[in-house]
Amino acid sequence: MTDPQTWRVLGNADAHELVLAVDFDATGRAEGRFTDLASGLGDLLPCSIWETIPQEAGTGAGDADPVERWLEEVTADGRPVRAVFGFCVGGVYAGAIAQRLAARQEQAPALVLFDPEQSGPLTLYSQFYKVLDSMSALLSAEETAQAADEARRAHEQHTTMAALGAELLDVYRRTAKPAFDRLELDTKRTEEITAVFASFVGYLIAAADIDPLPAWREAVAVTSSSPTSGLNGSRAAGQDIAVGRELRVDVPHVDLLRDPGVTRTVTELLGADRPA
Amino acid sequence: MPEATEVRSRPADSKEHALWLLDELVPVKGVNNLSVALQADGPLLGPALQGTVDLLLRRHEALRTVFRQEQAGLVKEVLDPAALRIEAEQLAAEPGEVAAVVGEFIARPFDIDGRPLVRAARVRCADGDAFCLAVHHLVFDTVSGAVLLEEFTAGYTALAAGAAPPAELLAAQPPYREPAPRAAAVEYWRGQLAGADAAGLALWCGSEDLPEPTLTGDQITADLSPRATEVLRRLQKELRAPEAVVLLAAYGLLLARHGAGPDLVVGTPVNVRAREASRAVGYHVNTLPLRIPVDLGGGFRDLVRTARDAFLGAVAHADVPVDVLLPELRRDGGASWRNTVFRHLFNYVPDDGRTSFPLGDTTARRLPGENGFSKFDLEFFFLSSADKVTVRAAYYTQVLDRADVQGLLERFEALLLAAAEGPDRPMGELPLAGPSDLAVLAASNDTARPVDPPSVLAAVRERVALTPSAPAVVGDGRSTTYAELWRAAEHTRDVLADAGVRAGGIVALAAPRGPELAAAALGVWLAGAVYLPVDPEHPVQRLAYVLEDSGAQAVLTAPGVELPEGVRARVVPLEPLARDGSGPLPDPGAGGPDPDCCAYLIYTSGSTGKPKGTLVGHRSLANVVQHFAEELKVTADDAVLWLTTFAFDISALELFLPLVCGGRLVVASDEARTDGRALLAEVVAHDVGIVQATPTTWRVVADAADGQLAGRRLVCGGEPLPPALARTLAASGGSLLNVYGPSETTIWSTSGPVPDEVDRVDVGRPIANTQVFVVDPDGRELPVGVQGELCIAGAGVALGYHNRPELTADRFRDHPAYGRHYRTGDLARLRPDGSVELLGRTDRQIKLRGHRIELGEVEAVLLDRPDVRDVAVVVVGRGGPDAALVAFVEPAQGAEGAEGGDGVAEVDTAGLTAHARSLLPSAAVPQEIVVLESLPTTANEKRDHLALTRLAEQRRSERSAAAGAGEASPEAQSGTAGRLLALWQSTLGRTDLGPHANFFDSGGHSLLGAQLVQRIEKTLGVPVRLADLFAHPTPLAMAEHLDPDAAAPSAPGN
Repeated sequence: MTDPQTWRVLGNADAHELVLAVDFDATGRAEGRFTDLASGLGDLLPCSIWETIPQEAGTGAGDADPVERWLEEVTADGRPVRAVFGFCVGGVYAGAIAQRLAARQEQAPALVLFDPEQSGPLTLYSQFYKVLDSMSALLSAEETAQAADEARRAHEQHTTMAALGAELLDVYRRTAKPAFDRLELDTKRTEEITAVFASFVGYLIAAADIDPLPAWREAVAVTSSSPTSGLNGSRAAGQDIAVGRELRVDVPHVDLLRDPGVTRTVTELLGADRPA
Repeated sequence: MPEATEVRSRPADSKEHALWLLDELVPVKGVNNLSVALQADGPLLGPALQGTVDLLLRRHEALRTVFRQEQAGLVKEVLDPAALRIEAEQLAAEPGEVAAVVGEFIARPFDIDGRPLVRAARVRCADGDAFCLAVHHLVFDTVSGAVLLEEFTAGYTALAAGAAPPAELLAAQPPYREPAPRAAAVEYWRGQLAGADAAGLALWCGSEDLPEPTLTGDQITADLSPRATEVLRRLQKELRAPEAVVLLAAYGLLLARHGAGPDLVVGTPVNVRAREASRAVGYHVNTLPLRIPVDLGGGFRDLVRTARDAFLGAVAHADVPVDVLLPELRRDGGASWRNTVFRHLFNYVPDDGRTSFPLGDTTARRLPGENGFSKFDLEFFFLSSADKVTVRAAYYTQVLDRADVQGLLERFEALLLAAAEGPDRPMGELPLAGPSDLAVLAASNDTARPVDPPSVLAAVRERVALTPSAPAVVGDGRSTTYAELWRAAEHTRDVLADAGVRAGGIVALAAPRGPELAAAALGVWLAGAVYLPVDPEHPVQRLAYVLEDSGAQAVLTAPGVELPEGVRARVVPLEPLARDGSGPLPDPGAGGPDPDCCAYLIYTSGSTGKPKGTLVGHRSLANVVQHFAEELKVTADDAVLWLTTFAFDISALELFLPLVCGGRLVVASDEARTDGRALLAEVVAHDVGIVQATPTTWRVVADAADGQLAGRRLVCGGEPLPPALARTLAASGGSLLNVYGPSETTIWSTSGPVPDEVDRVDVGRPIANTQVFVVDPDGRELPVGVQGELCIAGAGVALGYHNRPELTADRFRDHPAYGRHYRTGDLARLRPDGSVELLGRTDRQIKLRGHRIELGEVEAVLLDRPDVRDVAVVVVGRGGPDAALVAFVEPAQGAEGAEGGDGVAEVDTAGLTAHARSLLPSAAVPQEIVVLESLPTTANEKRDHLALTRLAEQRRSERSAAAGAGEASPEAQSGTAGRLLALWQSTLGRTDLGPHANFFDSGGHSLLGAQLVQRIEKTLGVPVRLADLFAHPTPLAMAEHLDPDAAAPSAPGN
């Protein structure tokens, strides 16, 4: 069997069942990753854990339905999927994947969402700010302020995700140029790093097209203690999202995927001792 | 001619756009919801109520205006009256719950997606029904609320009586279109706001906001007292300013005296309706920033003039929504999207003073109708009527709590009254405290009681006469009676006289804790001299400095103690204590030394590096010993542990506490000072009832306690007691006293019991004959809850520093009410219960890239992790552009994290950083976390911040030297992992990284990652993608990825 192209295998490659995990793990970040969760689950859960590889922007792949693209290789693999995990906006895709799998396999996979979040213009806008923040050490105060101002105007101007995303990508290119120069990055690097941002924008845009709420009604949501993340954030925003079951854990958002207690909870949820 | 098509929607204007954007940015919704709410005395009739709502919707276009996002941006549209019906919701409330039900109804968010921005409800209640109209700020404001309340009342009254509604309500009210801001007005505001900095507006009370604000609001409503109202009306005439301006100036003064400003900016909403449109409903208010510099050296009259100019200037240029200027304003420092220009709001509305009004055949009164949020830290909303002025103080509960705001309201009135008495008196001199503040201070500082006898020597002498053969000092297999102790003291007196020591001379004591040292201290006093404790274990240089600086005439040394060369003082050997208790007993009535004379001279580490000596009088020592004898209920049956090195002043309390009570002094072994088990064994063996130690020592003991502290009296002091340790100690079954005090005010100045489940440990209240107060940076006394420098007055205040007149004059001051006092350099605030809460050192509050950071607060956050036992945060490169925070952490014993190779528990530094990031503003997150097996302590067993700062600076300079030298080390060059590690280090400018260092947890971000990947490619000659780094962020993982066969063989685990 060849290695999948749209998934990264995180552990137990030869197990009889799969667990799928959706996340945009292509940025350097402080938050725990599914890699951390998988290493904790390794011995406890006899499943092969696959994590999505975000599709590259500009390859044309972005035109296809990302969910179908991921599912193609899962179907080709043939093993049943025990569970689908989603982190943040990954929860949107996880919901869609789980729904489609339910129609294709005997038993519907469990859907486990870690601080699930929907995607929309504000998500895009605030993610741009995070990226800008990480660049600010390499930019002058004026350059940062100008970028912030351009992004703000873009957000005011555009109401569709696609238009806003395109505009923010432009702002990113303009803003990052001097930072790239200061680090003496070559073309290969600047293209690659821009592609990562573009890919992330694409990930958020495509997620905004999916209504995850029907799928989420059947899901187990693991909610961190951070007041503005996941369902806590939605509640604070006055939106009460219905999920099948919500488990609140006293672990901050950044540690959610690497907390040993959460790992144990997930194991219990999936009934690790159930005969495979 | 083409057929005209009606364009129903049009773009939102910039002001609406800004408000909408804020609504989107705020992490919580409902913040911009306004209301009209009333409660009647009886039932409200459903059909009449609904009819009135319909009427109002038809009459006011604004209530039918909806907003939505379109391709072209935010647009608004006025819905046709026929197409819109707002059905009043039917809610119910238990008696007394109406306000809460109405509040929830108002707070419910509106969706800005083309749906109406208004909803109505009738709340059925046995107390009388309520009516509420909740409206989004986009189509509404306070003036609209007043208009609608009147119209609702008129409409409902008519309909409820079965009559036709008044004719004017049937007509449509023309909407008001605000003219575009004039260019000149925009220029005015540009000039007004140039250089304004919101970071300077924080108050000295309350807490920091969360990284993600919640904006939860609450409010307190109070009437100004009749006297204050009368004074206000008088000031208005006397200072020739509108009442609103006098109130604004007083509000500004209140904020300035609490730490905001002096370049103060206060926001105020101004109605911008043209005169002919005064009853238009809609969003026609601009919240304008009033810049009012407050010079506390000037009088209130001057401030009123400044406030009047700012106010009138603002009103004359009110056509500019300040949001238009936001992009131009400074956004660094403490400013955030929430409060770019101001954090405090002032609002003034004339009121007819009616509390109730007729409605149908019943009466009704207006409900406050709050949405439960506060966009600003604080708002004072004044409702002024002919006979009274009501203040509604709304506040953001994350930043201020109820007691803070209650205090602010009281002090507002106090300042107003004081300003009226002396409008030209410098405002910094006006008394700030309100009646509650004064009551708290008076009760807390009411500590006077006699100190009898006024010296420890006299008290011990009484005990010797009373129970000469009782054991006084035990330990080390020996027991010394009171008579033997006294005899030895008299011997020391004679030896000193022979050595030429005169009254008032200084005699150093260089001996380990034991009966000889106890007797020597008493003997020095019998000789009329002053003792100077020195620790023979201290570094030679320090000993030499102390002996030289003190001008000691003699040094009493125990056998085996070596003194530095060149000591000028006469060295007198301390003889082993003779077992001789015979001879006449002292006369208990012989009195003692002059209580105002010096008892001891003690050296403490100075922040400048050189130790400084403090001279402490007999009465001061007698006072603190007598206080704790009473507070700890020490009796002749008690034993007290002498644990602390005598060179630390708290040791004197351990020494003299049992001796003035006739109890036993149990000398702890040196081993017990660092080994918790050894200490507990001695405590149990000698049935010690009272143990005093620093948190550093208690931590060692608490780990091993296992029930052995039950029933004992524990005293903890010398440095902040972390809540977790307090809980552990409290759970040990002992009763715990937390104490605080600098050496300059004699051992301890405050004390308080620590309850079992404590979250924030305070240091209790002032001890006997002691007063505490808190001052601002200019020395003005601050009220309860406001943080500033702690000052201590009373019996404990030392005589001064030895031979340091300038330092003495600087730290020991006079106060008109409290008298001579010591400025501690500790940040503190008084709590409403009169206890003192310490908040760190004034010199531990730093500014880093414009952010005010309290290092103690950062430490508290890091300490909150189970794998961390102790932590110290220091600043490197202080004051420079690349200043950084470094945290030193000590792992907890048996931490759940991985065990290192040598068996020492490890700390999950990445997890710790993530934890800090989730709770602290980014500027306060340490850039580096260094794990040390144990943190260094000073001679007095406090954390040695100075040593740690030096260590951090040293690491930094080594690192930059290494970075300069490139990756030349041969070791680093061997193997792929080694070469990668060198690249990790040079890219991040750190030498402390190992093969498991995650690039993104060690200060790296995507752009630096791109640089690293480029360097890897160049150095190793293999293609690498950024994605590879994301997937393999450590040198080892990357090495395995690039070269699976040659991966380092030493890689542990997977």
